[in-house]
Amino acid sequence: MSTTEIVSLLHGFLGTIFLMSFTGAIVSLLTFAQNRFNLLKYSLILMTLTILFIDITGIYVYSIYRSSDPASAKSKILASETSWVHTILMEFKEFAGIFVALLMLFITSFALHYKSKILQEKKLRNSVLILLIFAMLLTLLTFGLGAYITKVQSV
Amino acid sequence: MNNKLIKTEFMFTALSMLFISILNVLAEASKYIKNFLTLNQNIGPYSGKITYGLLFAFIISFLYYLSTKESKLDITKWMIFLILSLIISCLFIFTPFIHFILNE
Repeated sequence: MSTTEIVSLLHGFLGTIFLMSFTGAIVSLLTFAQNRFNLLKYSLILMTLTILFIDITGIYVYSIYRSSDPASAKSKILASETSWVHTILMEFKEFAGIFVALLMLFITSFALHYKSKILQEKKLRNSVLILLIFAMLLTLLTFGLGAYITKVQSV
Repeated sequence: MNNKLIKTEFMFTALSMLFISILNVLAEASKYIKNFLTLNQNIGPYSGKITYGLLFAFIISFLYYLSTKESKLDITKWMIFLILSLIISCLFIFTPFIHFILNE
């Protein structure tokens, strides 16, 4: 197995951890139990660390993907009839991953700032919930695009 | 409770996404800007878009932190600002929309 393949696998595997941590965060927010703050805190910290590693491994894989070599995935996609896979889908995906990381950094720091008040005050709890849902929708879209791009042309 | 810090965090997150996406539009509009944003040959203009986007957002947020005073946090207003920034940023990274606003 090459380094690129291992990093690509890790990139996808970390995505699974991110989704599992999201479940923990959502459960703590929706069960309304105030002693669930630790679950929320650790889920958010895990999500943030995971998305940062996903972005770091993603940048590594992206540098291989966009290599100027005619055999690179980007060159092959652009030369094919499905060049929109790069010009539309990949262009969107590369930034969406960064937006999720920025959102997660904000949500975690917000939750750590207000601590258990997050679960007591409706406005604070709903704010975290709404932002988490936006982060998750963007993540699912990014994962879907990643899977489709890999199906069209793997790195 | 230090509301100044939370407002600055809202500001930084929203501005980072906006600046990164605006730099993406500018890079599409001009080859000169695209070359200027290429800080790393392996990653291409993406490197400059992220670096400068975060840097501009950090500078403006820091100035905001220094100039603003402690006051009650109107969370609804800040949430609308953040979500609108996210939606606008997502439009600015969607290639068909960029071509539409650049009249291409």
